[in-house]
Amino acid sequence: MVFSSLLFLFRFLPIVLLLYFIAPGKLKNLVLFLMSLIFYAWGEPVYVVLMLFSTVVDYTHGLLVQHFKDKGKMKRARMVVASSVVINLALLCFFKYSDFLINNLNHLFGLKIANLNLGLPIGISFYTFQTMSYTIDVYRGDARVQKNIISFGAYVALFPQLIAGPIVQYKTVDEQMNHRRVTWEGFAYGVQRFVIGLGKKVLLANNIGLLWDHIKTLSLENGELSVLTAWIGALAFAFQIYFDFSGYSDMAIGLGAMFGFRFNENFNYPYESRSITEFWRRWHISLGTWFKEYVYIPLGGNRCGKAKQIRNILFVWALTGIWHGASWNFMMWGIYFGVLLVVEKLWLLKFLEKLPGWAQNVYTMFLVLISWMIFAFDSMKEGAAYIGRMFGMAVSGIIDEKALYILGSYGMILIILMIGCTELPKKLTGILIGKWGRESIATAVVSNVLLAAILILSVAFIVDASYNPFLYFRF
Amino acid sequence: MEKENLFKKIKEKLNTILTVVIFLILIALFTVAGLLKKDRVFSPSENRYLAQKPELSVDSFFKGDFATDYEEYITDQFIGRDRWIAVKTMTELVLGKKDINGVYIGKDDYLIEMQNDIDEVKAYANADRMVAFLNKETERLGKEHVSMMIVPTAVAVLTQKLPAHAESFDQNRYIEYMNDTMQGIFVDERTVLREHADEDIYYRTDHHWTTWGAFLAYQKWAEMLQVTPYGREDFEVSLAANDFLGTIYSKVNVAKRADELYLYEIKDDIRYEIDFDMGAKKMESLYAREHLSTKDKYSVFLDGNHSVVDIKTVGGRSDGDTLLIIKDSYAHCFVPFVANHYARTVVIDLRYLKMPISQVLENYQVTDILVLYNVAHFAADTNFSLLEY
Repeated sequence: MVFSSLLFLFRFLPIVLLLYFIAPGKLKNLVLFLMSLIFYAWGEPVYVVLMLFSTVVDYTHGLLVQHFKDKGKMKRARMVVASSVVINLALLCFFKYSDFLINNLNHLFGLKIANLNLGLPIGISFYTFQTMSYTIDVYRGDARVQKNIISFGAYVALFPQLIAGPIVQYKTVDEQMNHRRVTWEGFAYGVQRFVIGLGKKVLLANNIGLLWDHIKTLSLENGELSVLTAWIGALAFAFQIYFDFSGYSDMAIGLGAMFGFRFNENFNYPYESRSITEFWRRWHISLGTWFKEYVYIPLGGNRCGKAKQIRNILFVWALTGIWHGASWNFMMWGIYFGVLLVVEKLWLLKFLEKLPGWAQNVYTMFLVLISWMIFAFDSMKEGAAYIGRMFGMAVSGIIDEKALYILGSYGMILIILMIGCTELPKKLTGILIGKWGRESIATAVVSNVLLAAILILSVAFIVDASYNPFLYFRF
Repeated sequence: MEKENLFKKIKEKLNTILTVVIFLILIALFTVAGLLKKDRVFSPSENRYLAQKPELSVDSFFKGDFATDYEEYITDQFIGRDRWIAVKTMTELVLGKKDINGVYIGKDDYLIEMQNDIDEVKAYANADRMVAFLNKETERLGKEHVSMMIVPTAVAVLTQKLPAHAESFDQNRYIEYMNDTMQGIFVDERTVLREHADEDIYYRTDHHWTTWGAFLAYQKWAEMLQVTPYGREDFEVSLAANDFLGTIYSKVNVAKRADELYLYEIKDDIRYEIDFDMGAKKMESLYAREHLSTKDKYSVFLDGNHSVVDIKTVGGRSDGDTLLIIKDSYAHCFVPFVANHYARTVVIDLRYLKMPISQVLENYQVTDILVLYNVAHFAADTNFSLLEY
């Protein structure tokens, strides 16, 4: 089930809210757990078993880690952690990468192993990463062991962040799993975040996604794109993935807040970045943090000399890449960023800092747009051809009728998106609220009229759901 | 004192309370209204059957079919569906979009189908198939008894009404291709339609041409076949509806102006005996007026889609010939003109009449053939294998 559907908004959500708020305190986690399973089972009933398996396995591993730690048997505790990591990664690899592996083996050695054709269980990349974080955090003493399997199950299956993140590390919600309170303010904040996220996904991302699909199809043939169209296309995809993904994160954070959770932010205006290094501090923060804490630092991070640090960066970003999907282009995309990060670290950052701010931003977005074109095409040949078109290879010209039409039809939307991905709207509302007063009637009326309008418009766009794709089926 | 405190507190929390209450009310409202509302079977505005509540079974649940069907069901049955779509269209218009759901928002209140997803390979293959069939028939029946009319659609003719820089499938090249290969048989309507592009030759909200557009094409057709056409003055022209909102309107649910629909009735004493689908229905008028009070008003022409319409004309300018029309719905408003030139006019729609053409030719002892489609339907038709024999 996805949030941006009538089914979620007008069937699932009212039921879960109703049940959650009439359930007595002790049963609230049970409600969340069961409803999350239904949420997950919708359309994928068989894979619920996988999630229950994951829950039971990591629950027992957590208990065992704590047990051995209490007895001072650190070696055994470490082995239990290793076992948990192996099981989680095995699940992830089996369901996500086996056909990829088979295809590559077939290709390399001329074998004819048949594909397994397993459907990828939605969200598996997110929840396996979350459950791994749990046992590791318990081992490290960053989180307490969870003795209640219902509470633990509620954490693993928690529907707000189940299918598209953010990746919530156990230690950040450790306390909240058993002690959380829903306040009017908290709930209202949740509503705001949810509605804004819904609008970002349905009104902005889907709209510009249509343009990207159109340009992508055109790009498959030589001479159909002009240079300008190619760049508009890259920009369209960049906007689609940002508003879609950050919209989902907003919705997750908002829904979490409605049930009293506080999740960490996942995006921080990444397109305002002035270097690739900064971009990765602002883009998909929960994934970056996860790799940093559980891979980069354990490998030695930056404490073992330059050579090892470079190795670590490249390794982590290759993993980050392949995490996004079982295909070589994602690996390439990760390595592309790894190399850029190394180059920046070694000498480019010092040079960049001397440039004016806008130039730093142009530099960053130039590289980011190219990276998205590696990301957007499964076939690296098509991706390379597209990037070629951005630089004038096999195009109809610098500018053509199609580009002019697109600018006419999407010009206003592109401007809205450009403004929308910066901090400007937030600053403006801040100024207005400052002027009117946070508790003034004007603030209350204007902000709520806006929210209601976004919600209603989003519903209108969902009803005409000729186009409402789900982008993360590969994550 | 206490009351004042409470007042102050509410005012402080007004923003918060409003947000929570408005959200919950909106969610609850549409949920409950949706549950209470009666399901519709058919949507006249979208011209299709809507998804119905799926039945839950163990099998459908575990395959995930139930989930898919149920989502489709609540989307199709969502309360006020047409109005929501209108809200979406209006938002997109405000955002400056020039096309919505495959429709160009044209000047002068024209909604024009984009038709830029036509498959070229298929289009030219279809043309070749039809040409092969007609070449064979020309040999058999004689050149003056065969005609082919592939009519450009609004997007190719009303170019002045399109948004700036709008593009579409190259109909010009396509028609040129057929015109070149079928010299003396192909009736090229491009010039006459373009000359009248400022008049109402296409509907603003429907994908068909108007009766006036068809009348102009009829003059051109007669010229080519060297028959004497009836002039405008030979018809009683009446405004049959001024509130016609057609198929393109249904894609966007917003229109500034409804269409007028005109009927042309011959003043001469000509009578028709019309048989639909081999005896399923009989009529004596080429216009089925009962459709004028429904949404689907274009069906007033020849009673809409049928597999075979067999028209016997008494009177008129015929010399006893039988014309076979192989067509799409563009022919429906054209037939009332052309039927006056033949003793018998047999109109077939290959989409519904799944019968090899050789059998049709034999059954009706056909002496003349007219192929009449619009470019978009012709290019995308999937039934031309029936033409091989």
